[in-house]
Amino acid sequence: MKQIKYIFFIIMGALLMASCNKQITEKQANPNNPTSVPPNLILGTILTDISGTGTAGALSGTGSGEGVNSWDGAHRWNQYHCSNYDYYDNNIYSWTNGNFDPYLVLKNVVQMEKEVTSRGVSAVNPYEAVGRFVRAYYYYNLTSFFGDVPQVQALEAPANSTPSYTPQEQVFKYVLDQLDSANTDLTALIAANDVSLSATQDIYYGGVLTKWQKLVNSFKLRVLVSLAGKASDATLNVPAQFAAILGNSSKYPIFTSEADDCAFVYNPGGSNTFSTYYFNPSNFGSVAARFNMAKTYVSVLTTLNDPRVFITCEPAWALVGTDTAHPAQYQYFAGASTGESLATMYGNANAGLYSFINRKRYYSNFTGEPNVLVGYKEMCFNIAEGITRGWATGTTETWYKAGITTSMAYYGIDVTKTSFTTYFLPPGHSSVTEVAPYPFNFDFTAYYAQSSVQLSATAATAINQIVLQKYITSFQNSGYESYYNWRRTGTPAFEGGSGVGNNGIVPVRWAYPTTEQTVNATNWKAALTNQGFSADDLNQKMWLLK
Amino acid sequence: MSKRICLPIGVWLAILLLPLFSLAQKAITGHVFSKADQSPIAGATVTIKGTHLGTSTAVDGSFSIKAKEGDVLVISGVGVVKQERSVDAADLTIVVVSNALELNEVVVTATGIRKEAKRLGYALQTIDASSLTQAREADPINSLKGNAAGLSINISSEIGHSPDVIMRGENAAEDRPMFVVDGVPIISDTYNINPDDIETFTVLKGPNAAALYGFQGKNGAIIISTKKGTKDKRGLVVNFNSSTQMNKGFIALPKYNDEYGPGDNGKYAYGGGGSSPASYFGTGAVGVGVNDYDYDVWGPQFRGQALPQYDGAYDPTKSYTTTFADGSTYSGHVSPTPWLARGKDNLKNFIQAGLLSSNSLSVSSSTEKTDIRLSIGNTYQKGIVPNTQLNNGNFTASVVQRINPKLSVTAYYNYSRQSSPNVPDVSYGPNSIIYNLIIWGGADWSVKDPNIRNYWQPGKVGIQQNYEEYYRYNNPWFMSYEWLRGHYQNNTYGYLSLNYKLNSDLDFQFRPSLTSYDMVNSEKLPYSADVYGRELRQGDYREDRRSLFESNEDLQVRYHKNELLGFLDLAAVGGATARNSNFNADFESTNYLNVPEVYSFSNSQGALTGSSYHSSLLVVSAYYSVDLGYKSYLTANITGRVDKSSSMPTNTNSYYYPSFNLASVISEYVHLPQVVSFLKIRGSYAASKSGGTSPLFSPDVSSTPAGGYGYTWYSPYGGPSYKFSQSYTLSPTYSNQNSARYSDQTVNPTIYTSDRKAIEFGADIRFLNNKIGLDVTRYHYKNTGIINQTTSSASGYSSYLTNGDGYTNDGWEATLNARPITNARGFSWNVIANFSTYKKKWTNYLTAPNKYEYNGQRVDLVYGNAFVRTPDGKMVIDQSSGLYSRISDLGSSGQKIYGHSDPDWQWGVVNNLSYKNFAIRFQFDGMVGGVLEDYVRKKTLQGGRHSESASGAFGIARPSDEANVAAYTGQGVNLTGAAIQLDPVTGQITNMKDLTEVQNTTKSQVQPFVTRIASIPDLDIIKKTYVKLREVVLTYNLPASVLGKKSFIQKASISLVGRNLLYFFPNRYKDVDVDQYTQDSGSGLQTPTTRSYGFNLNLSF
Repeated sequence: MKQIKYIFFIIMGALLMASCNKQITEKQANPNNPTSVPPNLILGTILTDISGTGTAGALSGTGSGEGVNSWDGAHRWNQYHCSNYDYYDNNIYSWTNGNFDPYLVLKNVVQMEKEVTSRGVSAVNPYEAVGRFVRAYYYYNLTSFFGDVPQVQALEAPANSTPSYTPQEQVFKYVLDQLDSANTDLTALIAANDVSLSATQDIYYGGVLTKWQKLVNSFKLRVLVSLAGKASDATLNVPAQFAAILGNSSKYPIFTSEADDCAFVYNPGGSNTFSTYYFNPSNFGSVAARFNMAKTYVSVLTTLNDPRVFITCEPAWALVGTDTAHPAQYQYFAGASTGESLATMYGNANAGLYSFINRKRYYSNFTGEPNVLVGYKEMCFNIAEGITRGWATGTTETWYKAGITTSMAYYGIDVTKTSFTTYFLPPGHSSVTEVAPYPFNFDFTAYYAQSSVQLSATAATAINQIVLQKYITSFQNSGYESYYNWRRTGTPAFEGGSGVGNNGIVPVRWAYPTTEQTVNATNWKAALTNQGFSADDLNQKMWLLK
Repeated sequence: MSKRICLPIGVWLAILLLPLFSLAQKAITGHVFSKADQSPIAGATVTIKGTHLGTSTAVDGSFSIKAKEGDVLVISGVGVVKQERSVDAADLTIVVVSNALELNEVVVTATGIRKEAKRLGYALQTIDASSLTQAREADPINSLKGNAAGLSINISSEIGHSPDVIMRGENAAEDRPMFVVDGVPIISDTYNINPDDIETFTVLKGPNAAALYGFQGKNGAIIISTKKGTKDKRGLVVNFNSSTQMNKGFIALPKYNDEYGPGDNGKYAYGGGGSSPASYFGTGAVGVGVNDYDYDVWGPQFRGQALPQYDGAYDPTKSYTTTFADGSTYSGHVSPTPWLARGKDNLKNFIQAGLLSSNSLSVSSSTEKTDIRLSIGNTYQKGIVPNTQLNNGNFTASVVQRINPKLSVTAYYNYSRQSSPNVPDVSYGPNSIIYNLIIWGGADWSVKDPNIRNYWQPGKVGIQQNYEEYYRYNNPWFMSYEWLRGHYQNNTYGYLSLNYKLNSDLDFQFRPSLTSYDMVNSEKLPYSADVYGRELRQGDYREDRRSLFESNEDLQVRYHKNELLGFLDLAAVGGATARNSNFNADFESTNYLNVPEVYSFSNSQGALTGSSYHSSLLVVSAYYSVDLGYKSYLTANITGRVDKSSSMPTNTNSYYYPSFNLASVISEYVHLPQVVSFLKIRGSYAASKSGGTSPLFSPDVSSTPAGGYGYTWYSPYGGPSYKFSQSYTLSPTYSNQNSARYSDQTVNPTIYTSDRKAIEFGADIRFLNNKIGLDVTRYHYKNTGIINQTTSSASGYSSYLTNGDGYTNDGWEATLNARPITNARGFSWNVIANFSTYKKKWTNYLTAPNKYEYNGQRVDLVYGNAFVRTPDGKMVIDQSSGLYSRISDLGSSGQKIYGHSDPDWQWGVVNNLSYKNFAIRFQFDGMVGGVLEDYVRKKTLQGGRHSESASGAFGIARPSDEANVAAYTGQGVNLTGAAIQLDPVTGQITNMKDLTEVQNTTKSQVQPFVTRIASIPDLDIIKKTYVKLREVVLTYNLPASVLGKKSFIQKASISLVGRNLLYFFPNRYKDVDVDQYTQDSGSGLQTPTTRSYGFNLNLSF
């Protein structure tokens, strides 16, 4: 009897253990997060990230939350505006510790591709094509920031957590190849009338592939122009690639107007906290006086007698003095040198010596201006520059003028008219409701007749004029283009000084992330050696600039 | 030798016993208890006076002796005052006074096994809970601070916040000691423990002591032994304890000035109106003045000058022009009024006296078969911030039923309820009173002003608060009375224990238990209240619900046999446990409200957002423990446990924890000098593992609107952390539509549990007839964790989850326990002193090694950007700006080592003195060494509110800021002649020989200069050394003569109590109470801690 009891217990125990094992295995999985998702959900994240408003891949260099969003760090480093209030921001090129954050977004591209193909979709599909653009977009920026960056061995964790660095020339080759493949694939997909790209998660083009194709080729023009210093490089073959695009608009469609722009449209609606414009009515009081305009930008405009300064800026009221009825005059506009020490800048800005951001234009609502990542106006100038360099045939001035007039129109300056009205906040007032209208006259013909504006017959001068106009056009958009162009051409002259840090010098590159020194040291050292850098500092020139 | 003595004694006894058997004798039974705490006295000798007949008491204090009525029993023993008692009943209760430290103390060890302390091979400390019931803390665990060596309690001064309990400095996120009630684990925020129900706290200090608990015991355990029945011979006792304490008087307060008002750059002008959330423009717009919006306190000096400000009349038809000292003007519609410091001491005027009132009543009875105890208690806490409170009710029932001599059942159940309509939130931000009142609020307005006190704007009740700023800050009265954060929690735990004694050697125990809670936190954000990310100020309602249920089924078989083969005492335990837990949480929020003051989800303007979290856990375990004792000289103990847990990946989900302990009472076999009355040495080895669970839970609010603000309650959890698999996170991106991103972490497929190997040695020495006892422990931990190793993001993943970050933890603990005076005339003095120290060092640092943190370095290094100094310590000032130069300003990434965040050592001294009916208990504790960044000072400097920014040379120069004139000359040198070169590691100047020192003459304004000081930790680093007079209790026990022999009241005592009375902080700032930041490298904002004093009444019926 007793033995039966024991046997019973043993059997019960064994059964219990078996059921426990099964339960333990079942409970291991995380019920809260999926391990596989439809690719369109990943697309939404990637496209938000490239705008600089996501949680990764903001192209901030520093990883401190600065990005390419309007009024972000990129545009202070492009020397459009300055922060005069250290508590929130400063103007230092704090680039001693860059970041490789964009690779985390590219990892999502890899995942998106996996999720598509695992669902039985062919390898050529819209997600893959958009993915190629995103790869090109980030690698172009990464290599422009740092020089050599991991590419061939990148995105291979856990198989390879210490990727070697790929020479910059090869990275550019990769970027151009990706754009080529994207164009080829999109051509096929459009021909097949593929509509599988999610219209809701495609925040730029609503799933319209023809627009993506234009973006791919227009972006490629940007990349080619950035390689102007390497036009003779046989591997890249820049002039021929440039000519190919301009020469075959059906094979390589490009932007035909601003409607084609890849633009991040800030989302209206106050209850949306995720995509509102950086400056808006809700923070007017706290930040409007803490950002003033930068000298680099303002002086470019005032030197050219360019009325766009009346639209984007406000006069420095201390300079206006008693002439308060006519403040829309070029001599009343001044920006602070980005290199100025913050304490001085803060005092001077408060004393009315500097222009502020045009507060009516930029604080009146929650949508502001769209942040154009790649746009038509910039493309016009890129084409103008390529033709000037003799890469292709065409009428330079047509593109140059198209860029200028489109930009003027964007700011409400219709070049067929001569009288305009702008709005400034008068001195002694701080409410946007108290802005007052100020008329000004402008004649585009006279403007264009200025030798500083009219496109020069000398190629070198013309290129500087083109780059200068592109600089004006890129105000609060196009990411780091203005900085890259300054670095490439010296136009316009950037301001140095103690306010920029780095011993007063505007740096020519980011240092690699400091974590690379510890977690990928061998490859990091090899990259420095291969580029002839004595140290990972901000002032040594990468291949692109040599 | 011993054998030769034994034999004659035996003969002697036989001869003596022989005649006695002939007399009319019967078996007398009895129990011996300690007078101090009614605990049973084990091992006391009971002899019949005039004879050598005797016995000794058992573990439960019981004895049985053959004696006849009229005999006198002599009770004696080490540590017991010799006492006589005549045999007047068949069952005697004998209460003795202990005169020294108890030697044969029986203590509770892991899983509830009782053992003689002298047989333990590891450190363990017992704290008598009765000493913690007089001067109360809202959370009873706070009372343990300073009472055990190696136990750190970071007391939070915030209502409803649990203390952070850390053993031996192991403060990693997953390292927290477990809480155990009568042997069964509970998941507790420790508010649900009523100290009146507790007999003792036993602190198991590490894996050596808690090895039998498996991975939960890796960081030691706090075992709560509850009261059962009564030892009172009457069989029924009613006990009432009442305590009332006031909280008043700050012990540390931010140092602020009331000389300057809000604004920036010395300028301020109020634009007027006050906002309406629906429109930012038009009449009543925000931020229309000068620096009247999200301002600092760098405004104009209070000189009575006319300025537009909050109390000026607003008339849009009129215009007033103000001219500032720098010549600039402002025109607005607010009539200027005198600029005065109306709100001196706003904080003190706003904060009220707090109250802690605690009452508990218990009924306990014991009969031959049954022990019953029922208790109810309630603690009401009123916060020092107006309209904040917490009620904490508690109900406990315990029954011990001895069904027959073999079978007994114990049932224990505890229910508690915390409820509060409003608890404060002190996390940095506009949600914090301190943020609003001290750091960024000026003294230009007064909390007593009726227009501030009546916080709604006329005609806009429910819609618009009345204040003097309408963007970033909030009216404190409005915050207290309209912005309500409810906290409601039901908490239960209990167990049923079936004990079956098969025979005298073998018994079985089956013990199912449960522990659970349901928590609801709600937050009503009213219209016009601002927090980070909710600048439209249109209100919100948030709800955070969490529910946990955990059960443990435990089966134990115990076998013990003494004097096996004549010398071996064997005690063996085998057991099996199944732990099952289930957790559900969800957090939801509106996206602004449609209708003000209606806090419901259906009132949301935008789509509701939220997050949910579900988890379940199953752990099955088997364990054993074998004690082998050689007489009382030597005890060896071996334990082992196997856990199989669903929290780890399949390939590594079962793991084994061995431990081996040895204890030897040297004084029993080696002749020691007279002065040493007892000496025990011990040694222990244990290997412990853990992984995949986290002790605390707080919801992921990142996807909800303004997920970043305020405090997201941490609640006890202990469930799986689900970090071993890669997955997608779904969260809102553009236009609030959800999108997915893949985790940025890869996982080592062969990842294993984290691991701790612990070696511990110790000695227990007693001197002078056991009047002084010293217990010393030396331990060494070798830890390996589960870490997020930084990887090159270029690989697509920024981190790698793997094993690593090995570090050692070497520590000493000492407890001195002395009774220097035990006088029959009634005076006695008892002192307990605790001391502990530890150092943790990297042995295999992998997470993100750098130039400062690497193997061999301490894990708690504090380092960062610093100001540049000359080799002889002069501050270097930038000649162009007149500001201190930071290392980073010179393009260097060099860092200064500020020190270590762990204290050098911690200590506590508890004194108990009694004279006749009076007793006084007082406790000092503190720590020495360690540094932290004083965040309160940093922020008050940054905001211009710190008193220092308005005194001395700053005070003289500061008014000039108003005229945009730089008048402050920084004390330091300019370095000229060459560019300054800094060492890339230390940030020290390397080319001093090329540089010329020039006394700085460049003037700066005060605001940029002070802001620069506060921009980096350098000058805000303070040492954490402090001493606190933690507690004083003065008790008067009403003598029996007063109560009368037939009084209905059996015992009464009244105490005057105080806690947190004095705070000695040698640091000059003294603006932060550092005792909650034991291991932190920086402080937070805190509600200023107050002194607490009151009285306690204890009655027994």
